[in-house]
Amino acid sequence: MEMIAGLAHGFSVAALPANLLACFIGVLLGSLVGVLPGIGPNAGMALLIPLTFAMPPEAAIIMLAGIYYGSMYGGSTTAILLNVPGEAASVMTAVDGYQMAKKGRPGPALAIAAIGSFVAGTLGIVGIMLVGPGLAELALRFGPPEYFVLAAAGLVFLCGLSTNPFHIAFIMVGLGLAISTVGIDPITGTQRFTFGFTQLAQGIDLVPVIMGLYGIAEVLTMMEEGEQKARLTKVRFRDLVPSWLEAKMSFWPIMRGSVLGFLIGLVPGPATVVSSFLSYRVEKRLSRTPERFGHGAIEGVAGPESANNSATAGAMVPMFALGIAFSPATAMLLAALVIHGVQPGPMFMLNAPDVFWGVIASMYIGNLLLLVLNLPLVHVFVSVLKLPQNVLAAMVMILCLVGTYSINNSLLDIWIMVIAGALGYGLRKLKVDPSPLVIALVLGPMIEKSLRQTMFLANGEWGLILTRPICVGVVAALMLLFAGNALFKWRRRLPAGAALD
Amino acid sequence: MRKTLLPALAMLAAFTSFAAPAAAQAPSGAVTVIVPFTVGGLNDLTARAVAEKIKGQLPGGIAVINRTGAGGSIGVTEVVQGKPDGTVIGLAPTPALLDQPQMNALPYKGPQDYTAIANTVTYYQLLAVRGDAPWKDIKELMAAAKASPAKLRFGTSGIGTAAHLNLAQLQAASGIDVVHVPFSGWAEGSAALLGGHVDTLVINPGEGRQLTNAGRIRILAVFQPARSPFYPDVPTFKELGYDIGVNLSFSFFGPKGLPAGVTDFYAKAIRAAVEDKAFQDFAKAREIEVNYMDSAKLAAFFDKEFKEHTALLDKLGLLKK
Repeated sequence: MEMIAGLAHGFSVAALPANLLACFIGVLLGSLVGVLPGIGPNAGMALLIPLTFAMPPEAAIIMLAGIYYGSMYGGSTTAILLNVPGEAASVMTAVDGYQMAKKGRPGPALAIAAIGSFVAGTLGIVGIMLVGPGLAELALRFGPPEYFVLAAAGLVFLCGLSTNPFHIAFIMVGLGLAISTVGIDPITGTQRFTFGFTQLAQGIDLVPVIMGLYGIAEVLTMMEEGEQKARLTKVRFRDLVPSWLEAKMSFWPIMRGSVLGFLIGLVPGPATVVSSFLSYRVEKRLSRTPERFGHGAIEGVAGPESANNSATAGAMVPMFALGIAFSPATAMLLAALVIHGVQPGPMFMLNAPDVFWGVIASMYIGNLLLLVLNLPLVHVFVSVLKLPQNVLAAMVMILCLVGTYSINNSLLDIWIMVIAGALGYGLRKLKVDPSPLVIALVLGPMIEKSLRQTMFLANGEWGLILTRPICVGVVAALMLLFAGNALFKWRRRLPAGAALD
Repeated sequence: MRKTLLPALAMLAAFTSFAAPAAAQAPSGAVTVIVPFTVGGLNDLTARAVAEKIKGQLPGGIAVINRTGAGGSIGVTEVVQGKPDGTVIGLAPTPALLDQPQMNALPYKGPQDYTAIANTVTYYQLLAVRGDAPWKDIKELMAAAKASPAKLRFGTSGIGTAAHLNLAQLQAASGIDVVHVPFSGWAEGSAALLGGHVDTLVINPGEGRQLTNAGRIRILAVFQPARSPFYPDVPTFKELGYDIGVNLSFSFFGPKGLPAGVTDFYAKAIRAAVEDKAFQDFAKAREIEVNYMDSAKLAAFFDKEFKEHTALLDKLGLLKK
């Protein structure tokens, strides 16, 4: 009852014209930084925080939160149309989304991505309200040993995604882990593998590597192949809306992605990226026709795009309930709250009901605005494919360069992107899938840090991990999964010669 | 109209600053203030507050740029390598200025490689436990740590940070043997403290206020020479007989060889900015103290702190080989 009263109060705050405007500007900018390759929610929020200094707290937080969840809508656009992920969290969307575009279905892919994002975003807010406080306490039970086991299990599970032969995937994971160690040692604070370049001490960021491996490599391929693969001359309405079958096939992936993303959001780290990979893996695993994945399966768009959206909601749970940030983006939101004199913490909801409920209500409004904004835009975005190839390639290149620079104001990031671009191009020529490298780069720092913290906690005793029930549970689940997998494969092989596929 | 007015205004501004009693001289051209930590943090907000206050005296304009990474050493390096004409200055905390160059091979080795301009704020850290922890006060905690060596887990914000130096000093002074668990900052550390993965955590003032008010954590002692006005009931370690405590100070600095006139100009402008009521209120809200030091005082402070930290880092085996 209290919650309904709170939410009603929240809507009365969020519906004030100034706050509505803030919400609209936020989600619009969010969509924009999402669409633009390279520049993402963190950079977008960092650029705008100084501009919010003069705003009242509700409007400032409503706007910044809008950028955060709004960016997850936009990231899919370039992924689907151009095979260039707009965000790190849209890497998986590009796989099947771009194949759909090539087959003349870019509209449905974009529409399903927007609808999935809306459903997941809305369910995520419901989650924050209903189970947030309880889940935040549960999340505290996870300490370094649990994070280590989760991240390591995630790495093993996600690498099953790759289409590479085992030894190649293994090399790619090794390369990714190695790259993730460059920079500052997370425990001792000392520099390592910088080879005397002070600049390298800032580390190799995920975004320039992804923009290189996928964005620059795609531009190079575009230029080389000359002809346009996904070119539309006429955009018909029929080609913009998902068919009944496509909608039906997307329903469960959206639901599963929403739940998965929300839960992953509760774990510290780049939850939006991890959750989208995980959702793709789960959908492919559960599908009766996994061979369609990679060739334009709509489930491969619906699941990850929903997951990365609800992950933003999940990441806000510890922020709202305890005042603790688990990701750079929520840290930015917390900083903004503090700047505006609102102290986040366990008493946040009671001390600042205007801000708390106002922001929650604005997120419902914002998600609706994003849907209304993005569905008609599908037509506009699809029209981008009418542009000639050389113009498109140049545009993507410039956007990648500017976007990557904007993250840290660092020229080194540009170089990293260029080198990663060359590497990505080379890997394409060798028909090697770079996704294990990306996964290792995402999870590597978490695995390393949590393992070393565990060793500190346990005074060097490995046995500690086995005394923690959550750790044992995760390991057992992974083992069961592998056993199930092996059994499944073995049974498939049994009727020798029978054409199952 | 604007075109003719601007140079005139600039000249006027230059003239008025010349007319000031000391030979303070505003730098010509646009000024960049480099902040080596992210937007919205204490370092960033302090820089922005000061920049906002002094921008009227800088006809070329002033911009705050965040150059993050590597414990602040990336941003400090950028300032150190800047042109010493006053167009590039920085604001950084003592660990980035004094400890980083002792732990890593950097283009700056210590205070001799940059010009001290002025100090803004100073604070000391606190020792926190969970709200439902069995120790009523710091004496009970210390007794428990002595009774069962290598058992209690003390969290800090990382090896070589001020929190680690504080913990190391406490261990050396009191002889307690505890397990040190380094985290990367407040977010990670506070989650581990609340979740019971560590028994105590060394925190910065301000950070734990909400959790303290909600009863989720308790502050047992401060690493400060005198009691903190924000925690008047919390004893200092000095009262327990341990004369310890590493301070954290945020100082403006410039490249080596900054002209004395420019340094003087900034020091005066910064003084006025930090003595302003709005800045004092900001500091109070963050539970930190405004601690203005001019260039000469700050340079002496750097030298003294540098030497003390060398000894501390050496004891911990963290000095760069």
